[in-house]
Amino acid sequence: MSIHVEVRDTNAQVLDPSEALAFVDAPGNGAGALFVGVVRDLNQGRSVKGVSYDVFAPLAEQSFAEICAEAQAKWGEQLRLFVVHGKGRLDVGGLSIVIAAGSPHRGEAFSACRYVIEEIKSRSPVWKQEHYVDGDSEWVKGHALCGHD
Amino acid sequence: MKIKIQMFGAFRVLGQEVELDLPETATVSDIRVALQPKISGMDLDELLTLSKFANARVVLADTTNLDATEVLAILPPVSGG
Repeated sequence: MSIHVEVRDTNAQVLDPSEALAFVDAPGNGAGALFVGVVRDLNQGRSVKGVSYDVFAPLAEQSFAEICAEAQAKWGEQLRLFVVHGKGRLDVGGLSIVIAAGSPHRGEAFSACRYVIEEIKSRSPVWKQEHYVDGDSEWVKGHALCGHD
Repeated sequence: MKIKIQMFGAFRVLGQEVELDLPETATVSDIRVALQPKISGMDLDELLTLSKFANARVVLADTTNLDATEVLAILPPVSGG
């Protein structure tokens, strides 16, 4: 298998970039690109303490697999891809998503990695609830999904 | 028929799951109508309008006929990554 996709309970196991890079490594691949999503301490002027990630796991994993297959169709079958998205509460500095792309050359790896994260942000059933230092919490406004007609 | 809808995102305020009693001929758009009274006063009306519904494999069109054997999920606008 050249694609690994997963939704992981971050309370049970943290996300690990080295695991992603190891998966996309191959003798024919001269490049590995990595994207790591991290919980930051400020959003739209509000001090953030942490973020809870809610995920509809079966559909999310299917969407990750579809997006990765699209990336392989665009940038070649030699592309290896790893996607793991966290589910659960993370403090500032916690890793929410790790994506790695391995390919013979750097251009394809960078492009594929960028493509996968941008598509996940607009297509995958994942929701963020930010927890603020002042004790308030709020669900982040997102992208409306498209249904099949 | 009884239809179970898993709640996600801001709709978690209604619990893990909501069960609706709908006509046998109901479509996905009828779920939205049936949920309306349950969110009264919660400032979720616009979000419900923007939300889609899905089974474990696919996001459903509003015209899709419902299948009582499937658990569905409400999908408000997404914000992953």
